[in-house]
Amino acid sequence: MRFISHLDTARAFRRALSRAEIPVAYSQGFSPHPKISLGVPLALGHLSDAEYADVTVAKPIAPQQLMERLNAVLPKGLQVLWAGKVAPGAPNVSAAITQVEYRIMLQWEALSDPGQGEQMFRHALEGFRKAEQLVVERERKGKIQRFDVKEHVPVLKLKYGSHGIEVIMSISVKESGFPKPEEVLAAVFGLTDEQLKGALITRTDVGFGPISRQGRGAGVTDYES
Amino acid sequence: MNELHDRIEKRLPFVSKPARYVGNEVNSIHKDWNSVETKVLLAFPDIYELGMSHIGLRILYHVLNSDRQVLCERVFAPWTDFEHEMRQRGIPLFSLESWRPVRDFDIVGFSLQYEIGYTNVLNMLDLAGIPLLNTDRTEMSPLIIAGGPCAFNPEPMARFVEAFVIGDGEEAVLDVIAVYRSWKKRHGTRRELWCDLAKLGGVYVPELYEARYDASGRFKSLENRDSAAPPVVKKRTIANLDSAPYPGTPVVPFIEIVHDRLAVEIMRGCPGSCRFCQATTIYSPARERSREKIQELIRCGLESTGYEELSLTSLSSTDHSTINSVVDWVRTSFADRHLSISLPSLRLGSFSIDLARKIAMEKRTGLTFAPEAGTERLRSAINKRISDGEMLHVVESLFGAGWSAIKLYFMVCLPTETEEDLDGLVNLVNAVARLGRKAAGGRARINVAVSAFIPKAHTPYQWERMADEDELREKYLFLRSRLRDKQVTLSWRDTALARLEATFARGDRRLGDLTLRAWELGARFDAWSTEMKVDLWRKAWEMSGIPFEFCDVPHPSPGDPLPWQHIDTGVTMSYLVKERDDTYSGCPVPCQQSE
Repeated sequence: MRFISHLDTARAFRRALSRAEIPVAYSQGFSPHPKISLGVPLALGHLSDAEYADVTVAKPIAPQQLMERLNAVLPKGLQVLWAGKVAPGAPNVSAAITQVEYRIMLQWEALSDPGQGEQMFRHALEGFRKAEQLVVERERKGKIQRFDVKEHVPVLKLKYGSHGIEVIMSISVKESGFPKPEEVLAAVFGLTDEQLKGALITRTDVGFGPISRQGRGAGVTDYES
Repeated sequence: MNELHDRIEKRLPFVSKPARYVGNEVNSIHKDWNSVETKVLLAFPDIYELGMSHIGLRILYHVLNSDRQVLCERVFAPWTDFEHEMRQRGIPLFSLESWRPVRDFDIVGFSLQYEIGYTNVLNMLDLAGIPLLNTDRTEMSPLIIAGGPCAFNPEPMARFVEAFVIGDGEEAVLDVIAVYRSWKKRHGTRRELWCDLAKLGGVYVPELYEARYDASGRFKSLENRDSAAPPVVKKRTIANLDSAPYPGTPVVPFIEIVHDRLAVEIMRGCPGSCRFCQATTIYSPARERSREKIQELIRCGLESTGYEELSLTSLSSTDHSTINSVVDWVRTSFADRHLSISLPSLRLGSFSIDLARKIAMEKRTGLTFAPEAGTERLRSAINKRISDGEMLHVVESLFGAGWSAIKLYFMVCLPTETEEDLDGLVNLVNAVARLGRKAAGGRARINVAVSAFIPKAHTPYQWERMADEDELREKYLFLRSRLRDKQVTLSWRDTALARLEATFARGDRRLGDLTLRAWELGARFDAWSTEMKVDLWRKAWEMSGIPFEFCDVPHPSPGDPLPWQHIDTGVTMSYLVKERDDTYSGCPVPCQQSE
C-alpha cells in the first residue's frame, strides 16, 4: 500500500465497504456519494499504522462486525485495527486530528554525502533546538506558503544505529496548513530530495488533542526534543 | 525479500505513479512459482492504465490461471521515467505479481491492440534481456507469442514474434501451452516447437515462411519453408460465448484506469457491416452472450469488486437482442447501490433514445455517436446507413431529455468523398448545434472528433489509397474554418500518427527493419502524441532503405498479392471485392444480411 496514493486508498476502502456489504449511507442530491471521510492525507510513499476514517451507516452495525467484515475483503496491506462508534455531534475525523507522528528511517548508505555522519546530525539538531524560528517555504500554484518548523514540530528525536538513524517526529496539524516530514528534515538537516525519497517514513500515530474521541489516539503531546 | 525486490522498491519512490508497478490489487492471482508446470506472462505494450482497461487481457488472465498447472502474471510497458531508472540500475523488466524477471517465464504473450505500439514491444523485450529477433533466441529464452487485432496483419512483427494466435484466444492459448509442455518434456529444438505450433490451427509461425518481392520491390508471395506450415491460417472462433470462460472476479486496480468499471462483454463481433471497419470482419460472426449469463457475470462481478459503475461492452451494444431487459434488470436489482451504467457504443437510431434515458437516470452529461460521414450519400457508400432526419430526431430527443453534450465522430478522406460531403458534415454539425442551443442554451456542447480514414487489412477498403498529410491537414483546416459555432469544439488526430498507423496496418515483413531502427533511435510510446517523434521515424525510414511509402501505393487492385492473404478471417475475397465495388456504384447492402 506504500505506493498507493491517498485518493486511491480512499477508493479502495470505499469498494471494500461495498464488497463487505456494509450499508454505507449516501448523501442526498443530484449525484449521491457514500458518506465516508478520511483523516489527514497520507503522502505517496509513506507507510501508516494510524489512519482514521469516519463511515456513516444507513443501518446500525456493531463496530466489531464492521471491522471483521471489512478485514475479510480489504486488499493486502490495508487492515482495520480498531472500530468504534463516534459520539453524536463529534467533529469529523479530519477536523479532530491535531497532530501526526512519524517514525523515519534514514539509512547510512543513502546518506552518502561526506560530512553527513552522526556528528552533523547532532550538530544540526542542537542548532534547531536553539533557533528562535525556522521557516520553510512551499510553492504551490504560484502561491508561496510559509511554515515555522519550530512552531509546528513539538517533538524531534534521533536514535543512532549501525544501519542508520531513526527519527521520531510529531507535527502539529493546523487548518491553515502544516509542513511535511520531508520539509522538516530538509530544513533542519539539509537533506536532499534524493536522500529524502530514500527514507522510509511511517505515520505511527495521530493525536486528537483537546477534542477527545473515543478509543485509541487521544492525547499524545507530552514530550519535547 | 530478495535482491531484485530490494532494488525495485528503492527506485519506486523516484518514479511517477509507482502503483503501476506494484500489483497486489484485489482479485489479482498469486500462485506459488514452484508448484506449477508452466509460467505464462501476459504482456501489454503500453501503460498499466490502458492495459488493465482491455477485456481480452482480463479474459486470458482468467483462462490461464484457471488451469492449476499454469501460473499467469502480467507486465506492462514501464513509463519513460521508470525505464530510465531500470536501465541505470540494471533492473530487468519484471512481472507485476511476483516481481520476477520476465526472462524467467516459459511463455510471454503480447497483446497487439494498435499498430503504433510496436516499438514498445521491442523495448519490453530489450528491457527483459530477451533477444529481439526470433532467430537469435535460444532454448533459454521464453517463447514469444502475440495475439489481438493486429495479429491479422502479422507481417510487420513477423521477425520478433515466434507465433501469432489469430482470432479468439480462449481455447487457443491452452492449446499452445499443451504443445509447449510436451515439447519441453522432449527437450526439443526451437524449430521443432515452431513446427508443432504451426500444426495447431489458428496459429501462425512466421519463421516457417519466406516473403518474396518483385523487381520493383512490391510484395509478391509468402512461400512455405517447412511442410508443417499450412498455406492458410484460419482464425479461431469461439462458437458459444455462454460456455466461454469470462472473469467473474475481475482484478480491481488501485489507480484510476481508463475504463475504471466492471466490464461485461455482452456480444462479440458486430451485426453491422460498415465497409471501412476491420473489427467487423476480424471478430465475425456477431455472437451474443445470453441475458442469464450476463446477469450472472454482473452479479458476481459487482459482489467481488465493489465497483460503482458497470459497462456493457461490445462493438454495438444497442444491437444486443435483450439489451433493454438487461438494463431494466440492473436498474431494479441494484437500486440501492447508486450504480451507473455505461454503454460504450450507442447506435445512432431511434432505439437509442429510450435506452439512453434508462442507463443515465441521474447523470445526463455526455453521449457519443459515430455518424462517420457528413452526407447520406457517403454514409450509404460506406454502409453506415442513417438519414440526416433520423439523426437529428435522435439528437433533438436527447437534448430534450436533459443531455447537454454530444460527441460526434467523423472520418475524412473516405473513399468517394467529395467537397459536398465535407459541406454536408459542416451542415450536419451546425444543425446539431442549433438543436443543442434550443434545448440547453449556452450549456450545449458539440464535440466533433475527426480522424483520417485508414485503410485496414481484411476490409473491403484494403486496396484503397491513404490520404497524405497535406490532404488531411487541408481538410481539417477547412472544417476548422467552417465550424465556427460557439457550441462546437473540433479536434483531430495527429496526421503523422495516422500515416504511421496506415503504414503498419498494411505493411509487409520488411517493416520489421523500420521498427527496429526506429526503436534503436529511441522511439517509444509512439501512440502518445507527447512521445511520438516524427523526425526520428523519417530518419529510420531513410535508413531502412524501404523503396516506397506503403500507405501511398500499396496494393492498387484486387488480384494483387496481399501480405496478409495467408490469414483467413472467414470472410471471402469475393465478398470484400463486391463490397468495394458497391461503394463505387452507390449500392448499399442491407445491414443484417451482408455476410
